[in-house]
Amino acid sequence: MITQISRTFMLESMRNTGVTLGNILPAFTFFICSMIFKLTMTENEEVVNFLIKGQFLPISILLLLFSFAFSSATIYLADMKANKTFNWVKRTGVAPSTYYVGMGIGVFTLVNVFLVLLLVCYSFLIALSFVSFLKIVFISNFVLLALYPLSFILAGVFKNGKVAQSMLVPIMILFMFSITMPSMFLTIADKNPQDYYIFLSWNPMLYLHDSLQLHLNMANETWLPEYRYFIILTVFSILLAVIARKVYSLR
Amino acid sequence: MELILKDIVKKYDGKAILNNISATFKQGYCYLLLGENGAGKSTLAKCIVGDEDYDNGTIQFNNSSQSVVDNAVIQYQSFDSYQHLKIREVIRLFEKLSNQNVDLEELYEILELQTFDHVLLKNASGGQRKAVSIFLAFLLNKRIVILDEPFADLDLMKKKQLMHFLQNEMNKQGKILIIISHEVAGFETLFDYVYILKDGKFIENGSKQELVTKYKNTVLAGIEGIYFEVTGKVLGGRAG
Repeated sequence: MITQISRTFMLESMRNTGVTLGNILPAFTFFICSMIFKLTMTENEEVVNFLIKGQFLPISILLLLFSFAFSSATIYLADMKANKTFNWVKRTGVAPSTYYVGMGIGVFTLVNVFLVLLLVCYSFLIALSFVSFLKIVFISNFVLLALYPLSFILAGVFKNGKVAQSMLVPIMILFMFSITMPSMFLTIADKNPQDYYIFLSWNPMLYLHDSLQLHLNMANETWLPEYRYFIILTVFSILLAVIARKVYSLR
Repeated sequence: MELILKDIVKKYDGKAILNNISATFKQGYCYLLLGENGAGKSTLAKCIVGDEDYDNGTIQFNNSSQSVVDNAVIQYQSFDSYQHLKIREVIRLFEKLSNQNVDLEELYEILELQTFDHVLLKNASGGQRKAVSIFLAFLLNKRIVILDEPFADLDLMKKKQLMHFLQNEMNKQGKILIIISHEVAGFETLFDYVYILKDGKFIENGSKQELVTKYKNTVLAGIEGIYFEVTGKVLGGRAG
């Protein structure tokens, strides 16, 4: 039953070509930019590598996670609410939690397929060890775990997919640039971004970004030990799932 | 087994849409719900299946409120979910989710689903979406089935076939059928009881035979005549 729900979500997501392209294009646009830089700026290889590792690759991954787990799932759920899909589903005897898990598996599968593809693409441009590769996939999945229930909360707040779509842009900008911009400007100002991370600890993307810096050899250590990131993200996920259960009505 | 509605009150913004509605629906019978647009038919149907909360009263099936929701299904006028699935994929999804093994080949043919089950829901017409909705309502295999204008969008032969299917479901499966329809001519044998709703109240109800006896010399024949006598209007909304 869970497999059927996952399959349905993936099939619908992939058949909706506009949405699929919209999901993968931002992430792969940064890869294409990286490739152009790498091919054209051959005399400044160190700078290019720094740029790719410090900005382009992290932004690609952040965008991919946002697109699939956040925007796409939120719009899908908001539409399900608007067209009263759950009025039908609840009569099949399927528990809301089963649907939550089934759709979650679909989201995780899609994200992981494209995440692996993205990292494989980047591995042609920068040195990326197999261990770093796996660790990046691992932390990305934990961030996804924290973000997934958030899509139910937002879908509960917004009336339908179109409203959700328009509201997700500022939310995405807030989540993304609150991490990437301070990191970039503080580095330029010769300050350690990690000194300011406490103010950004509400944002699950922080933990991904900080871990990426370590696994791409851009930092010597993470702000907090990585195991704490996994705990924090799991706690985020549980708390948000509890809120999602209250906010996202099946009726 | 009976579905019992007692003093149901439903208000929107302080205005009563359903005003102390009471009725009893027995297993193995078909009930026709008549009324003008806005009379409260759809609201009543949604209250029965649990899509809408009601402000007062009780709805019970087998002496339990919870079992009404578990045992009832409504065929909505359209099916707008799963836009990027093909119709046969939607049906397969619901077969798996509900874990029901119901033989609905006859209904599949009556609704001519085989001719358009390869169509994506987003490309399906209103009539095709409605056919999906009717099919799913029976696929879920509930004891109480509420159908909203099931005969519209079907040709005459298919209408007759659907009527026979419904009669069979009611008699052999022991279902309670509640049908909201403005189209009754030609299907009168299907209906056992008639409820006429106006301004959130039942203004007339009874078995078809009782009402035929009560309203003998009607201008129009059968149920249409009864409706005209009671409301002064012709079924479908025209003023009499």
